[in-house]
Amino acid sequence: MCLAVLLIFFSQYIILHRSFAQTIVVSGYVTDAENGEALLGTSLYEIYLQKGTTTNQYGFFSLSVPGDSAVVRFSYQGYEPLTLVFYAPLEELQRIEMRPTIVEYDSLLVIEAESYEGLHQQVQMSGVKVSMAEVEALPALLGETDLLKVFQLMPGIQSGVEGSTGLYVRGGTPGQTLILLDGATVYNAGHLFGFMSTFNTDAINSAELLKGGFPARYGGRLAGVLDITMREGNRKEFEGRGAVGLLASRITVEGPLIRDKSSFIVSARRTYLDAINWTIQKLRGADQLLGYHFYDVNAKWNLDISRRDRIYMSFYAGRDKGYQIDNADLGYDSINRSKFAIGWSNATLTFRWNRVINARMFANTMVLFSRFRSSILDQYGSEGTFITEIEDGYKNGLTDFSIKTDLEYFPHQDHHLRFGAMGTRHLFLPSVQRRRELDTEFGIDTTTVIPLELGTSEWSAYAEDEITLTQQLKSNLGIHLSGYHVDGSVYTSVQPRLSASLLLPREWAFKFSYAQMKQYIQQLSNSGTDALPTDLWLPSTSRIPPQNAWQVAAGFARTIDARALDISLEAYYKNVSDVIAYREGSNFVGSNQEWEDAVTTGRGWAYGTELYLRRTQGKTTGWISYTLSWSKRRFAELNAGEVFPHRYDRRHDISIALVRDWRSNEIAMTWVYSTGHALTLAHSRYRLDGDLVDVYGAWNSYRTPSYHRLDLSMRRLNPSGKRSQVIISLYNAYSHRNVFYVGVDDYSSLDPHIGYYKEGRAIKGFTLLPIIPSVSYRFFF
Amino acid sequence: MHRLFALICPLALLGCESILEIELERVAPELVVTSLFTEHAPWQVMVQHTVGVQEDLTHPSIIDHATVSIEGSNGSLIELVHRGGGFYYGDASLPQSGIMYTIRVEAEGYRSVEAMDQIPSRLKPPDVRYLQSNERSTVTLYDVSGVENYYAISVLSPNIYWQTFNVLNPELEDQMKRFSVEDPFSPYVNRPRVEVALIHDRPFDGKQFDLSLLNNAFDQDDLSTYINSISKAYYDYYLSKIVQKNAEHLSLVEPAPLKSNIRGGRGVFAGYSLYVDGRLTPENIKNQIIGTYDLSGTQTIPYDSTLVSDEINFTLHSDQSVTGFIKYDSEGGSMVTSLEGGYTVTDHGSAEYLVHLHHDTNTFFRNAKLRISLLSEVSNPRIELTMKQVSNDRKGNRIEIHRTFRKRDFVEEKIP
Repeated sequence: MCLAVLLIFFSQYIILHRSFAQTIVVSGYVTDAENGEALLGTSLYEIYLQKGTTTNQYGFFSLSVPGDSAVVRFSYQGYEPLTLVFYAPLEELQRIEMRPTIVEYDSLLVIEAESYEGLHQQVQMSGVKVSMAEVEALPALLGETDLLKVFQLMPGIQSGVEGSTGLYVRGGTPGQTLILLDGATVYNAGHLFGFMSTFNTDAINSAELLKGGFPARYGGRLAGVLDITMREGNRKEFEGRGAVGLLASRITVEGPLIRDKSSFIVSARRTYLDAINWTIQKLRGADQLLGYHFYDVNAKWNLDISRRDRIYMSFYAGRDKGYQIDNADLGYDSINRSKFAIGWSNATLTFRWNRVINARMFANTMVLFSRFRSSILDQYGSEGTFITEIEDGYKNGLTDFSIKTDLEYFPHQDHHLRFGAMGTRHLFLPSVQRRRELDTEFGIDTTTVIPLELGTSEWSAYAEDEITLTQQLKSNLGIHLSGYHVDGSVYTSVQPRLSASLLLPREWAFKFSYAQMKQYIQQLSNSGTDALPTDLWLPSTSRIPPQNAWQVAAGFARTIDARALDISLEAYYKNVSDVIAYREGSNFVGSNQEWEDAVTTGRGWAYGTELYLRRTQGKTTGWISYTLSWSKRRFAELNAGEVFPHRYDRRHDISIALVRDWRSNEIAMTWVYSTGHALTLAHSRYRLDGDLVDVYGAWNSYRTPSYHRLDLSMRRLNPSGKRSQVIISLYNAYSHRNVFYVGVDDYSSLDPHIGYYKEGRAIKGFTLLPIIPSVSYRFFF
Repeated sequence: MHRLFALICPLALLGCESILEIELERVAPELVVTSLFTEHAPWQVMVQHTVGVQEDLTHPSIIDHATVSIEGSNGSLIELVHRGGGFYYGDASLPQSGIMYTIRVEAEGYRSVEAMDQIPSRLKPPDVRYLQSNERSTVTLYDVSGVENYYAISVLSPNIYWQTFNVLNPELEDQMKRFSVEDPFSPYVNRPRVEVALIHDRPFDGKQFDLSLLNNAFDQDDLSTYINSISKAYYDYYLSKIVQKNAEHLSLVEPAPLKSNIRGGRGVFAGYSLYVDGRLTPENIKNQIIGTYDLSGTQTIPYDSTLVSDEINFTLHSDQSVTGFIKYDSEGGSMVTSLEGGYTVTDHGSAEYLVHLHHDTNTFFRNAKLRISLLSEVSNPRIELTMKQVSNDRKGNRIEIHRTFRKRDFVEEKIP
């Protein structure tokens, strides 16, 4: 069926293409003149025809213009606009090099990526982009620039708990947002329990997050798609950059292997938290040893193997490990030992081949590998005359092998056709539990391993066309087909996609989108946590069906060029079904339950309105976003089947992010406010059969206090003109105590006044991050 | 989560562990009605109220001023009377199978509650066979097809305070839930904790089914097996209680509310029909002797000594072999019991029985009574109770209290 749909699309455009006999096709790559990096999303348009396009994710463009000549203007924010005249006959591939407008660093910030068309000119709605310059300009916890935390400042995207990098897009969960790094899926984007994202901004070229209006080329998740492209490395000369912060340091080296033909980039980051912790604990003389470390490495290499062909290899690996070791000396040469360790790791590998088949057609083929593992180890025992030890180990994860082909076809200036297919083999480790019992006194040493592995297959095909129907009306029409095979069961899906933009007077545009999505792999989280590595990646099975969603969004957008101001107002409604949640009283880690017995399926819906004002140029840049939203769930087996607010139902969410040039400094602030998240807590108790029984109110009926925080930073550029920067930042400037976790503490204490023990319960909100000043240093070489 | 959190905090190096005390909005207390009824026992209903989760639970939460009535679909109407401890009793009439009963409880200051249930239809009596010197037993159930049947199975030994057993059938592995209760069978007597397995007939609907049990029992034990056919309300309530209880020991676990069929309140009103294979039948239990020792004022350990361990042993002396149970009630009735247990009888021909009471460190004898029940097979035993309390305070001082209660201190009670 998918083949048939693709053929229909293709044949239509063959016919369409033939109908334009006298046409000049301008195609090629747009790159940075200084380092050869592809400029993604560069806007280009034919001046007289007033029609244009943008470069794709690889910097490629193709523009068909009737006649035998074309005057094309290229523009990319932060770069000098370029107007070129092309006459037929024309070489198939142009190499357009654009020069940055501001090359001297003492003149401060260059916002480089937010570029091409104004919001009102784009068909795509519900999408947000951030540039690495913005990421680096905004305040960050301990000076560690963080891509995902900048996305959290956008409308419709919420953070989870304090400090977390989890992305909650329009009432969805982090597991419902697809994160792609050079096309490969990243399953856990958090370091340090989610306080930092795994993405090293020095190695990233661009990042775009879609919240709705998904083009047909994306699939596999319900809530959002975050597409990150790594930098390719300087093709002109060797250079490097690095940063030293309180928490971690990073270094990046890049340069040409063959000038203008091949380049590489290697970027690495590691924390020294373990060394700091070790020192502090030694100074304190603590019996308990706490340790933590993480690292990540990004590397990418590319080579032009011919004028039409370019290959890339990109790699990412990251790992976190934390542990707590207690050794209690009991005397009599006996020691009680316990160890608790948690760790997780991600790795991706992408091999990509770009081929310009002809001036109108571009092909991208990828072979992808992605791997995620998490583990928990709980070990305790004693060592004396005899050794006793019980060790419980637990692992979860999955490995993906994928192959993907995308084709872009530019048959006419009013059409941009994309189609492709993908196949993935998932190898899940939903649960591997291992228990070792050792007792040298009785000669016991047994190890029990309960492995559970499951292989599943997922495939998809898509076709979409970005059509300019009239000067005022554009649309992107597409279809995404997918299928999934698990253990004898097959699921299939046909997902229509539609986006449309109608240009209105005074540079306003009305936009509308509809998208259906299906998600075959599931992430299971406990309601009391937020994107921890204990969240499990699990397959859909014959018992647990895939998740489904449809979303409709509509809104208005306007770009006021004179003021470099973007305004967007969107409303959305999203319906999800077959989403999973733990059953009441269930968990997975440490439980003997089969995971399918621990979960239940239900449905949900989310709706809201998002307001976004953004200034992209001037002394003061930044944005204000406000989201008014509702997110609800209904599960037959939870809350007595009644509707309840989703844990991340947030009525109000406000973010303000501003960057201001001030003398030789760049001053930035962010302020965030959001309604507290929803929790289920027992409000009463009674006794039964000698036990205390908790009485709960409605599910998620308790709200944590509202969250708000102000962060400030100042980036001082080295006045000598050398390329170095000192960044001073203040996280949580007014030290608001935001609740990270709510716990209960049952106590029994002797009351001397009444002469007997009182039993009660304290509800405690643990707060984590008070005011935190930090200094970091960035350097370039 | 606490352990995970403990790991996160020091790692952040950011002076965390800052704690906000959160005051929950007070929720109006609700009535909690508990009544498990069967054909073998007159009506008994326990009425209490919920207490705010941040309030002190030491004080009794019983309701002694409620109006409790039970109306049957056959037109019968029974008004129950409070007889202490939050327990309401009816007259001598017994619940009957096949009649839908509606309970209504009203108490000033609380929202009125109501619930309906009936005793499940009596099933063909199960067959019970004991194998391998009691270690294993088989219970043959004769399930009725076309209806959802629920069972509660227990194995009880008079010699073991907390009888445990396992259901071995692999087809029940997923659904087999066990829980322990103080008094699942008869609300009259104070009993040791008994394990109960809840079973749904899904895997054997309408079929004869051999339930295979592995008992933690001694060869000479005189086991009794209880097979209850229970209503759905009974099953749902106790199943959810098991889930909540189990969740206490798990980290990162979802909340587990109790299911209740009490409209407007909490608790359970549920019927069951009972089949007993063994000596500990409700009739035997009913004809017991119940008596109390008044322990008021026996605690002499100063409260400011900050006890770090506290253990109390009672020794029961008798000139006859006895079987029974023991329970400590402090002021306010059983609802505030912090000490309860049964005694382990090791019949070596001796007249002395060790009574070890399972308790927590909250023990405080304040208008307290030690209640002892004996089966009627023992006629007028001469019993004596020795109490020994051993405590250690933080300084390492060992404090012992000894006291002996004789038969004359033992006050027999009439069974209601």
